[in-house]
Amino acid sequence: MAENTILAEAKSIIEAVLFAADRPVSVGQLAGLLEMDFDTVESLILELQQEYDTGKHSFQIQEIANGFQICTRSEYANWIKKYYTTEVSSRLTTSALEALAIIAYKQPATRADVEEIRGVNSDGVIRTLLERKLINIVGRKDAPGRPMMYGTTDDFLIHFGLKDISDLPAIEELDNVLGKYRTDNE
Amino acid sequence: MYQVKLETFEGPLDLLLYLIRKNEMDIYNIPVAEITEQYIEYINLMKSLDLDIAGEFLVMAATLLQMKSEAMLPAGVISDDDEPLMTREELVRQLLEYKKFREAAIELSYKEEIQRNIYSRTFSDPIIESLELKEYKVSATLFDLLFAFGEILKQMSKENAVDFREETFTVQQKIDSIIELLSKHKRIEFSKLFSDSYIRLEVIVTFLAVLELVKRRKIVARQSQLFGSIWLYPNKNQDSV
Repeated sequence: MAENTILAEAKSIIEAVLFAADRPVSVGQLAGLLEMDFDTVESLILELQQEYDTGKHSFQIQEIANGFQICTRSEYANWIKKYYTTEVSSRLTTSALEALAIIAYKQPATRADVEEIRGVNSDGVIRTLLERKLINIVGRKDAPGRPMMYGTTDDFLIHFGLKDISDLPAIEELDNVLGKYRTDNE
Repeated sequence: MYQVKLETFEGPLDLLLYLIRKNEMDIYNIPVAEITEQYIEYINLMKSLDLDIAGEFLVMAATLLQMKSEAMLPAGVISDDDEPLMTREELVRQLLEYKKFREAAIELSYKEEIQRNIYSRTFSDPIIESLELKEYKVSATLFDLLFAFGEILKQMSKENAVDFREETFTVQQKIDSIIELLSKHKRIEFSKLFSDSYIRLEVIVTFLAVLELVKRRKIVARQSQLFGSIWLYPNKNQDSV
């Protein structure tokens, strides 16, 4: 079989797997499945992504949570919402977002870390985040009481449409801020 | 009946940031007397409206009042023994740290809003699920669980039974961590639940959590063979029971 035919076939297989999967599929998983090298598979996914973006498709291939996933384009959201009578995922409260931001940037973080920064009790908020599977327990801190340490999950990345944890919005470094404070007071 | 529209604040730091922003104050150089006055005024307003005031708001009020009175006294009057609740520098540091994450939270909510309009498939295929469930054969009874638990306790008493670390364990905590483990691993070996515990009380609390979860039909206990090792699975049919 000519190389072009093999690649075209591989691209179709990738498309089929992305369509059938209910979670983002990583390049590594696809490479293993196809027994092809990582770079080739990655370039095939990107080609496919390009095709979806340029053609008249209501789907897109989104890079999310360390993988790729076929999903609808945002312009069809209202039709899909109309189809699903119930709200698919409710938005998080400000408290939940604050606690989640602290855990996301500081992970692994304990409840005490979250409460120290927020200045308020965060027990209930953390429980909600655990129930919604946006965070999970990643271990216990070697400190008195051996408190649980939390980190973010793949569901967290999916909820916010992030490619991976480094895709988090950049925030001002605390050190710079403190540096400014010191120079202002000298 | 009339309603008062009052801004709600996540906590004392949130309220302070609001006051700083509203009065266009310099966060690095907060006028302590002025902000204390406004802060107390707001707390009093909340009180007069019969709103519940979280304890943290009152602690901050005390902190600010102490800071204010110290600023008014000539230097050297306060002895070193009077440890302040918080220095101004510490308060500024806390405010800046909180502000940073508050902004990050807002950024995240923008991302959330965008992603909310993008849908992916979430179905689960019954054929694929049935493939995953073929590993076990026998369901474990309460007696199997008790027997396995007895073995674990026996092994424990040989090792260090006394531990002076101050720790508290609640059944709810253990329930949360078991559910968490199961969401990650699909199944867990019963005895592995205890491998991290050094204290008898913790082992017992964990076991109570397992029993509670079985009772609530959140998990099922199964063995690959009679008297084999016990595995815990999330109960996929819990709605139909």
